[in-house]
Amino acid sequence: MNKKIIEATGLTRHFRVLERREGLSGAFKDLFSRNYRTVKAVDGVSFSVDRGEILGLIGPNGAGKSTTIKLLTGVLKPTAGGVTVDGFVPFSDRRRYVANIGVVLGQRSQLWWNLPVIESFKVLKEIYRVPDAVYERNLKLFNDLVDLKRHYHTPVRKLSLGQKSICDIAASFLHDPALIFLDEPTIGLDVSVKKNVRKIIRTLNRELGTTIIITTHDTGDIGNLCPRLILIDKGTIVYDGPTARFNKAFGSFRTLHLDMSDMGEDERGALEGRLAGCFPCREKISVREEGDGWVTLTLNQDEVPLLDVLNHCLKTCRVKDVKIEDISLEEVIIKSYEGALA
Amino acid sequence: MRRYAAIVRNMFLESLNFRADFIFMVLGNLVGVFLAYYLWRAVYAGSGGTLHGLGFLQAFAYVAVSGCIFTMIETWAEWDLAMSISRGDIVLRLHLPLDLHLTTLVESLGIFLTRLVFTGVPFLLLIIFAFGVPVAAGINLIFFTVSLFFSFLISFNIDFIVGVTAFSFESVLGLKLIKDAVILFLSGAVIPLAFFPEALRPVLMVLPFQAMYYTPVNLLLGEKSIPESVLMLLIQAGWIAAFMTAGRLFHRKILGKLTVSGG
Ligand SMILES: Nc1ncnc2c1ncn2[C@@H]1O[C@H](COP(=O)(O)OP(=O)(O)OP(=O)(O)O)[C@@H](O)[C@H]1O
Ligand SMILES: [Mg+2]
Repeated sequence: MNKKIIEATGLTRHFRVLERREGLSGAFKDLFSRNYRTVKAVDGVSFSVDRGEILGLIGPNGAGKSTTIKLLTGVLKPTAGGVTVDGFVPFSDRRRYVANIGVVLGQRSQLWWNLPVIESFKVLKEIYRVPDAVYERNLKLFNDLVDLKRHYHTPVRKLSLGQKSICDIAASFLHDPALIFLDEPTIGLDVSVKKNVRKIIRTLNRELGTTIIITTHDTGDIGNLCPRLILIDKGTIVYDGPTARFNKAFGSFRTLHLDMSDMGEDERGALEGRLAGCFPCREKISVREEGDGWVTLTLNQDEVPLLDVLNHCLKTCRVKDVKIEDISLEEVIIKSYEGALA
Repeated sequence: MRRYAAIVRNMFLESLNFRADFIFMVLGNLVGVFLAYYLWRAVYAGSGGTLHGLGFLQAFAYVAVSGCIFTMIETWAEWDLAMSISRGDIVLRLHLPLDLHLTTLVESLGIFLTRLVFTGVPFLLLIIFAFGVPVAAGINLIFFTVSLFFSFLISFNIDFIVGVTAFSFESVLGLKLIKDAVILFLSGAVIPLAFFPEALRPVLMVLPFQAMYYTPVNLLLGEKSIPESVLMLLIQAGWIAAFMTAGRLFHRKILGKLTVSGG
């Protein structure tokens, strides 16, 4: 068996989007001449995935993660380039191919809305022709992890978001798929349910050897689950490599949000120069105006202690409020383009 | 086949959940039947018994049974399809190792069967026993049942084509209502074909729409001989073949074009 389960080369998907003109007269003009704009949702990505891997796909909103998933699951036809998954060409072989994969979409449920959960499982068992033994084993595996039985007879519409997510994941792997694609499975879930979801994914991967591709905005998902990640921005791959290296490059970065709305604009503007003078370091502390009086500083703790910078700001500026966060994905991308991961 | 049967079963169970819908559908049908009754009685008042070769009960039966067929075969498949394409829920069907056209068909079939059991049959009984429409209890019932299923298949494929084309228009509902109105009118479901101008009737008879209403009603009322009935069924089957083929072509065409919104 081929060690590589996914091989994508130059995978591309463009959309032609109608630019609608504004207002009534615009709508009238649209009837006669239409303006199209091309969105390069996925623009020539190449990567491969090994059997049994857990791969995380991250990127800001609109980066092209979901479109990539749709190309990999055979729902969308690539504009150019190609991909093979487990020996299939997903779009052309869709019907045979999807029998071999599971898909979980955080925003949509594949369960029958008005029927008890178990009815959805039963119909999926028929659709995928799952042997009784496999079906029983997988349900048991699930029941040992999270107590699913108590939801069997509840209509799906009466489940909470978290309960539904868990049931959707269960539904996606009843047929022993070789791969499972999860597009933002933890969206909107609270911490304890997120933990359960991660536990389930890890167990499926370990016990059944299922290859997992997961997209998320939650860095916790990546840190806890994925030894490898791919960072996508504007349809292209910015980083593809070990999560550990990614964390080493960015783990010591912090963003410091300061509310300086009591200060004048020029006073705030002078801050960047002053910080550069006080804290000389290889990579200067970036300062960004948020427009509402808040200022965002991004700094690398390996080079300059966060507390010193904070103290300096508190002493020299009128600061009303402070928030400290990990580096944001947007900053990571800017820094990656500047060569932080090279 | 078992795979698709499982979907029919769940769709049947699921549509049982919409009890309020059923109550309103039954009430709507009831109002429709009474309206048709009084309307056609008024039309026949002072006519001396027959108009265009049809007696009052016959004319009433045509319209009432047609209305009943409409509520059974009208499963909103085009609406569901257009909505699931424009909202992107269509991905959920594409993730299944099944044929999209057939999956949509059997989902629609599940709804058709619920309607058949819970509104169709009771209303036919009402029309026959309460209003005294003469329906023989013979082979005509079998012809009718087959023909009704054929009508559903024609109607579904028209809906499928409308659904996959309609999603790019802003008004799916508008298109749907126009389609229903045109079909009901041209098929003789609102006004019996006998009442149409002499010149128009041959045209209507070569259009596919009469096969959806005129044929099953005729077969139920058992006014045709057995060979004639079989011929009518064959013609209906011919229309199914034509529309199935058209549905398949649209299905092929749409799969490559789907952009699948959302996510
Ligand atoms: N069906 C479509 N038609 C037109 N444009 C689309 C379509 N689907 C996606 N796009 C565009 O392609 C780009 C990538 O979208 P995609 O949904 O893949 O992003 P994403 O990385 O999943 O974002 P998010 O994190 O917000 O879910 C966006 O600019 C989006 O507007
Ligand atoms: Mg997305």
